[in-house]
Amino acid sequence: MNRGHTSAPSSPRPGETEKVIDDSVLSQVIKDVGATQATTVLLLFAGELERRIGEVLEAASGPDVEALRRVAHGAKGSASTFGAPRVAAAARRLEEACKSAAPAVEIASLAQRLIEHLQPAATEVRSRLSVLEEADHV
Amino acid sequence: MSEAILLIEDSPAQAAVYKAYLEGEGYSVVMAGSGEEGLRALEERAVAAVLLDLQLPGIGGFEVLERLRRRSSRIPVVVVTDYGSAENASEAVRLGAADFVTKPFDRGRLKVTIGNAIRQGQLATMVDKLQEKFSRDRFHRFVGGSAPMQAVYRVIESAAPSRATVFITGESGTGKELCAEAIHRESPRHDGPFIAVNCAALPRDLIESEIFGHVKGAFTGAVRQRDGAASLADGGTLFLDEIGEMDLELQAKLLRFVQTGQFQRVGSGEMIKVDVRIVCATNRDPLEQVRQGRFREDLYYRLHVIPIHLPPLRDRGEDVIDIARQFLAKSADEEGKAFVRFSAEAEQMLRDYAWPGNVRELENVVRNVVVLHDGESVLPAMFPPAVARRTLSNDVGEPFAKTEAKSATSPDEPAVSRAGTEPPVQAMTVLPLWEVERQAIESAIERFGGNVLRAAAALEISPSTIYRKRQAWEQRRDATATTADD
Repeated sequence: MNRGHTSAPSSPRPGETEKVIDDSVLSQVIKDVGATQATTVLLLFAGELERRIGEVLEAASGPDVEALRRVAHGAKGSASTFGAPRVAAAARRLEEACKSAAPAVEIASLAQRLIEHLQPAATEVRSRLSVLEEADHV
Repeated sequence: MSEAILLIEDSPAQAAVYKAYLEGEGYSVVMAGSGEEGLRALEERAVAAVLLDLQLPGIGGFEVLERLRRRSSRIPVVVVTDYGSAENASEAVRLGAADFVTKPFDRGRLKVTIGNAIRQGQLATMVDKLQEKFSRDRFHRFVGGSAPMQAVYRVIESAAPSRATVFITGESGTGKELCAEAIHRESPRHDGPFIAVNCAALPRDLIESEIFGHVKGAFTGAVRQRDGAASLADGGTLFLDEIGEMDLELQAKLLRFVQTGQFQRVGSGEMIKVDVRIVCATNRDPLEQVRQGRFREDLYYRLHVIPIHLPPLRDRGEDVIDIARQFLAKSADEEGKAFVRFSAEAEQMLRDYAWPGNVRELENVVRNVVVLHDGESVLPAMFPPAVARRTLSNDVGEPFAKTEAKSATSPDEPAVSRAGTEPPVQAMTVLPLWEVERQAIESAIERFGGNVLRAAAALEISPSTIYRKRQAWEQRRDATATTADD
């Protein structure tokens, strides 16, 4: 389910993982939170991935690199918790670039790359959510 | 009721996951989306632990830890860190975090970490409470945290809730009335009256009236009926100080009062019943008084239900400094003087002196210094001659005052001299140092009729040093004997 965001294709680049969602991690989260909470938690995560797109765009267009670092850090934490390795890796690279005061062009490029991974991850999470809901109905 | 965990996490998705993990383990979860919100929540409700994300909007996780530390909070905090940020984890632990979990973590890992942190917090709280209970340096009006006083405080606390009679012994000036007051304040009777009667301060024939009251015309000068201390103490505590001074006839009346709670006013046949808890005190050895026929044995056993012995000041270690500082502040304030401290040398003199008059003597000495001198520091030269010369340092007082007043230099007790001021037994023979020491110590013990405590005070060492050295000499002797046998 696409919520209307457009994004560039997020095919992996050299060094990037193939998986948009690591099902072993996500399945563990779903198991640990329990069936009744799983839908809520996945909905929140999908929404958070989508919200991050706007946050990265806003922070990257402003002068506050620290604000961009905080957004990247937040994206990294959630992505690693739920098993979104491409988002986690892209967020980590952006966070490190911000911390090391990398050239603006490099930071902008990494921000762009993170955005490219956020929407596909959200889409994948929502597809897992549909599967869960269907299983509930069955 | 389940234990509550405060979860401080700004990501709603992650917060939902952690909340589900914790609720799945039986905890209730209080949510906070920022550091400020989390600190507010901690003021409003008690939680067993905090799960804290380090990266937060507004005040961050490190600042939250710092503020909790400044509040001396004992609530264990588990921080959530990212993979590869070991320096954040160690900084968090340095700031007081109990533990950390690294993302991503599963429910099992969080369960173990939070469980351990809660147990750690419970242990820390328990240790705090025990320390508070057993390491107090103040207790009611007592000052001092020495081990002997900790024992006294514990007995007072244990005895206070009961109605049982307390018998306080101790040298003059050790705080027997403070002890009685503390018992009263700790007891369920603390809202009732605390009435103290000093049996040594009144003429013998007035003590009965002082304790039991009298009716009009009971004796010359009894122009109106007067309630005694026993009536005034109804519902509270009656403290009979210096009870060893009470004559045998009055002791019989006191015995009846202790047995029945009833008494008659002087000159009256009417029995009056009151609800009074009796605490009594003496600076004499009560059993010795019983043996000498000066104190009724039946009364002794009626009163001697819970004994409390107050240690002399010389056995209270550093308490002498704490008490002296308090007296200095009080006297300087009252006298408008600038004294704020004792010099290091002056403090050493306070430790060295034997204080035969105990805390009362210390108070007088400090007052003397403050009145007669000026300055910010009390110096050795300001002390009265007796303390300055430490001539009384061996006159360590008696565990109990003798029935007949006796000078420390009376013929039947050798004038005390400090070890080393007399020539050793075999001064002309060169002996091993340990043997010289042994002879000096044994000689002092002999001089005090086997009283190790007094010998130790005279030698200006602790009794435990004597016991330790005696043990070492025995071992040396045994070893020598074994070698000889071989």
